[in-house]
Amino acid sequence: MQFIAISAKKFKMKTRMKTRIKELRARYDLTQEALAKKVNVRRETISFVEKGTYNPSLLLAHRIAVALNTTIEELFIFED
Amino acid sequence: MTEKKQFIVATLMLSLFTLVLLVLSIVFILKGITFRAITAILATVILAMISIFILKKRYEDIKTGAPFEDERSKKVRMYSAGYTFFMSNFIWLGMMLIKDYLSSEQVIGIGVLINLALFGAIYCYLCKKI
Repeated sequence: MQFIAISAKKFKMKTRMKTRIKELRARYDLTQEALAKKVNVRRETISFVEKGTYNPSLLLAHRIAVALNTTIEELFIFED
Repeated sequence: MTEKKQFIVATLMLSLFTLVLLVLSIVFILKGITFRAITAILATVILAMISIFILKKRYEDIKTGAPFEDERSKKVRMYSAGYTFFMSNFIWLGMMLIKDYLSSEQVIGIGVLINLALFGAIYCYLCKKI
């Protein structure tokens, strides 16, 4: 029974993603549009990634991290 | 091909398609207000609206230097196509049930228009959701 309870708890567990894009953008005085241009995506994509609604591909995450002079680990925060 | 050339070619092609549909609609209307004429008018209006929306968006993108499509918009398009395909199966099944009350032309026309509208609705929904 305990095993089922633990499995159910794990199943319910949702990983939430937060980003530090907004903070780093402000540090480098970059607008969403300027960052989007740097990483060659549309502005809406940056907006959705920033809000944590859209999970970017590893490649896009890397490009954003490079554009903001940071690493993927520092840019994205995962909360279980 | 540069983005500007692609935009001009797309504008010309969409204008041509819309014009052909408009001429067809006028020909059908002159013969009488039938189901075929109404479908042609609806198709012309839908195509014109979609064309204007896409071309306006693309023009603004060219002006700002933004790419027309990125990984998110591709994902939205693919998801919309997938959901529409899945739902269209049920729509065609539904159309089979009412096929006795309509002509084959009406069944195909209604089915295609419903699928188009469905794709548009799902696309708009996913644009905000994903």
